[in-house]
Amino acid sequence: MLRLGWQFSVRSGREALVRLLVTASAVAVGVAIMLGVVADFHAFQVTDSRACWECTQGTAVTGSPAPAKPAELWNYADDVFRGQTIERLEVAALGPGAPVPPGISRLPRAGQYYASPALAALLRTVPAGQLGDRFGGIMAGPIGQQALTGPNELVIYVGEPAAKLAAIPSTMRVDAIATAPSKQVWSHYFRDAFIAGALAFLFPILILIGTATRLSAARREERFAALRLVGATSSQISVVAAVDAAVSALLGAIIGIGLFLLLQPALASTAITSTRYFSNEVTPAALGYVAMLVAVPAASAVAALLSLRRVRISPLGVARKVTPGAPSVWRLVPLLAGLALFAVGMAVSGSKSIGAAAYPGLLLVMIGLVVGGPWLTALAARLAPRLLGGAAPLLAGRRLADNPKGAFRSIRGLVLAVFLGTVVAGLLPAANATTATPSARSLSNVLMAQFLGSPLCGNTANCTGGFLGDLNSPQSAAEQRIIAEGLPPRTGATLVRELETFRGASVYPIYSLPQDAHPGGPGGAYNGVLSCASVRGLAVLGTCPAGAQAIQANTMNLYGDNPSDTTQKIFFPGNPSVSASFGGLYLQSVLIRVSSQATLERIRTFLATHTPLSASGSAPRTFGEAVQARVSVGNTVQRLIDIAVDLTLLVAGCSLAVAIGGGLVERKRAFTLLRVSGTPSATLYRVVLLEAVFPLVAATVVAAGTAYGISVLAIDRLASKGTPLPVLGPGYYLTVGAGLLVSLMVILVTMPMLGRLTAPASARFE
Amino acid sequence: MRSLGSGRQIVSMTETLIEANDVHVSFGQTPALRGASVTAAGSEILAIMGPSGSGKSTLLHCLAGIYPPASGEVRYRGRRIDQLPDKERTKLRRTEFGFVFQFGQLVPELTAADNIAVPLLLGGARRPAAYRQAHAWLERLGLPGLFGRRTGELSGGQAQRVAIARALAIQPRVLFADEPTGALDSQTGEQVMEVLVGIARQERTTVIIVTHDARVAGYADRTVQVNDGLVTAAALIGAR
Repeated sequence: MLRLGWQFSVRSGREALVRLLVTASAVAVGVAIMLGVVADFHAFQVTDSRACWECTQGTAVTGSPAPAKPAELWNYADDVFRGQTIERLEVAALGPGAPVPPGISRLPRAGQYYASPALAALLRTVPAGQLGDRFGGIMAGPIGQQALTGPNELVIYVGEPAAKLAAIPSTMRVDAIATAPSKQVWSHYFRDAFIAGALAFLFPILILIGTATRLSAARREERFAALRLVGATSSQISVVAAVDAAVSALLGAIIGIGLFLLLQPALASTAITSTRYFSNEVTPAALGYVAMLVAVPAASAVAALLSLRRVRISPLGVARKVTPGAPSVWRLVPLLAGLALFAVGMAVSGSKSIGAAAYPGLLLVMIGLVVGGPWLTALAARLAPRLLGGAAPLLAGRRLADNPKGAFRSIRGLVLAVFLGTVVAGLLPAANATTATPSARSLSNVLMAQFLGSPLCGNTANCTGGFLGDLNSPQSAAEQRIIAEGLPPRTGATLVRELETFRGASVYPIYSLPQDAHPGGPGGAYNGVLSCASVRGLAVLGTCPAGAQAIQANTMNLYGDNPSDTTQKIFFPGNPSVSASFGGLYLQSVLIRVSSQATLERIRTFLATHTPLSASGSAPRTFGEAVQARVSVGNTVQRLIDIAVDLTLLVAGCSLAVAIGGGLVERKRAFTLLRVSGTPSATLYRVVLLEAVFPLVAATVVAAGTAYGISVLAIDRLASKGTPLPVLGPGYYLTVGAGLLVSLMVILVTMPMLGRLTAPASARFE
Repeated sequence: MRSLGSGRQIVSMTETLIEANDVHVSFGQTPALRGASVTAAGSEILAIMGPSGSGKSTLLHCLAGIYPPASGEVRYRGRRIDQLPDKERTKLRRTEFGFVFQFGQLVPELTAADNIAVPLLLGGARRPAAYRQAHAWLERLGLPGLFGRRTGELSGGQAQRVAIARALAIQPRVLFADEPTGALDSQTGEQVMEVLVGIARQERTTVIIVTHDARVAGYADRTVQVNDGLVTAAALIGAR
């Protein structure tokens, strides 16, 4: 039987060969996509589990006893260049045997640095005043892959004299470099999204494999009947069918692996999750390949056996086909329940949190669309012939009504893709709009450098870095004051004066009110002061009382990481006004409006080399860059969903093509007889087209409508007042519309096949 | 009853080998057989005639154990086969019965030799032996050059002769033929019947032929007539 199954698959003439190739091609597309998803997930996991050397903690330099173990001075800070974060580590060995960070073989000496390949390329091409001068020294070599999350990451290890480094308050003494993975705030979301995405792909791919496996099922059932006639048992027929299906699927899996290997370099060079991965990591584990080679043929064999279960093959042919009953209206229950659950979740949602019921509600809506699709198809099959009239809608409607589940099966991937695409297209622009407020936009070219103790964040959205103040060793009183109030008066005054010499820069310094004047400390009502001249330059942040020279304000809101909060008004006419004499006050921060990108980078370079006393872990960045950091998270999600939608459309399109092609072959005789009896071929074309269009349009309209309704409800509850209703942009119509258009094109491509298959000259009437 | 050298027992033409008694079959609300009874003796060639829709093919399928009747009984060598489970009836088809139909009984993707070898392989024969036998049968039927040809590429007459070879290769006791020449021109049909009847007589195989063609019925020892689901007449015709 095994040999017979093999023979059915590969040595049974042209038709069998075509079937084998079509099935294998369809499976290959599915396997290649699945491997792509698995490969990117593997790269994500490898990157996510990389040792976080940046998380290294040490002890304060001041007051520490002489090290018992080999140690080094370690000062880690984030920097920013053109919106990209640069991870900068300054080190100085405290004797031989000091631990070496990953990616290099030995510590840089003073005046040397190691740079990641991407940063080294920038250093070669960007004027030194904008970037290179931040680090100084000469390059000792590149940083290896072990220290990096991807080829685009900007990292530099700078060797400094120990004395110079020891004088910087944020410097630590380190005798062991952290090796545990980092805890990125988005890791869980991305991992969950990958797993959900991979599972979501599995269904359309299984549908594709199942559809391909059932190709020419009726023809094969005739062959199986012939075998039953000569005494083959039902289980022997099952073996033949399973082997036949598994052989095609195995060939498809092998071709799919080949296809993936061909496309792997292109995949590796694509930054799917906003970070490019190293190409050698964008690959499935060996187990992934083995799983494809085993699981896909096995799934295919199971699909073949399941399809055989629906028929009882007697020696005279198919004796009984289990015709599925008409889908009942109860199939809409999950969809309606999902919508209700989502609405309940939204009802208890606010601008800061989403009601827990919304998530299962959304999932239930997706399941509901799949479960309810056949009912919608049956409805469309009943209504369309009445609305359209004519023979073609009648024939198409009859066939759809006969098996709406089967008709919907090949398009349910498309429906889910349309749903997801519409939800995301509706929500993300609104979410981005809440970040890029008019205030944030008017401050987009304003650089904010603050000098208080703050987490290490670079321009990372949702910063969770550790505080310099967290060092578990006591700091000196001077250091504690820097952490609490910023740069000392003289240093601050010099810095402001020098910054004001940059052409194209307007400088707005903010000073700290002395702690002793405010028992509540920074948590008190007002912690900062700035001149009213500065306030006039930052009009969106508020106004001074009339005639005032300077104004007190609570400035802590300014230093968060969410631009919709940091650009709220902080200066009010009711705030206490003071004289514009800032002598003796610590410099808390400085805001600088810049006229160009080059000026911005020159000032950032200047700040990097002239604020060694700063206790801030946050790199100077513009409000525009902060908005961009937020938006890029949304864009990453949008990109992931777009890729998912496009791939789902591709897989679903393949399913549709296979299903239609297979359906044509199966109904060759019926169509030929219709043509012989005078039915124009154009009518048959319309029948085939309408059979795909009816369920596609019905389910798509419902999916898109449901998704849009969900977006509107979500924005109404979650976004701030005045946020406009979502408008689906050109990207949406391009992605979803083009996908649907391609699906229709796929159907049209099968028309010549229909013409050839049903030519009266090829009619056989036995 | 006597035995051939191979150990296979031959039922003499006077003993009933297979019979249907008062068989009723309906397809939905439509009765196909309404109490049909017929017998066939060992080595006999029996023709079942009747107009289209009379129930003659259904009667053949009942005798072969393909359709279990709604009521009545079908006996083969005295044993009721209409109550056997599907597995047992499948075994009968594999070991005791052969079939030649008008069309559709060959697998077009398989070669002529494959088609003949499949029932032998299903019966447990080893592959080389099965193909040796297939080759021998093709030679015996005058088709030695078709060994590796797919049956979908053969002419109607060639395909029917391959079907006969396949049916006889397992040395069945009963050969069921349903309109075996229905898709052939008269000359080819006669050639096919000559081959079928000739080999059946050599092998002493009982043949039950369903036909509406009097010329085909003329090859039979006996003819029965089926009308409206009942066997209405029987006539002995001398063997050719």
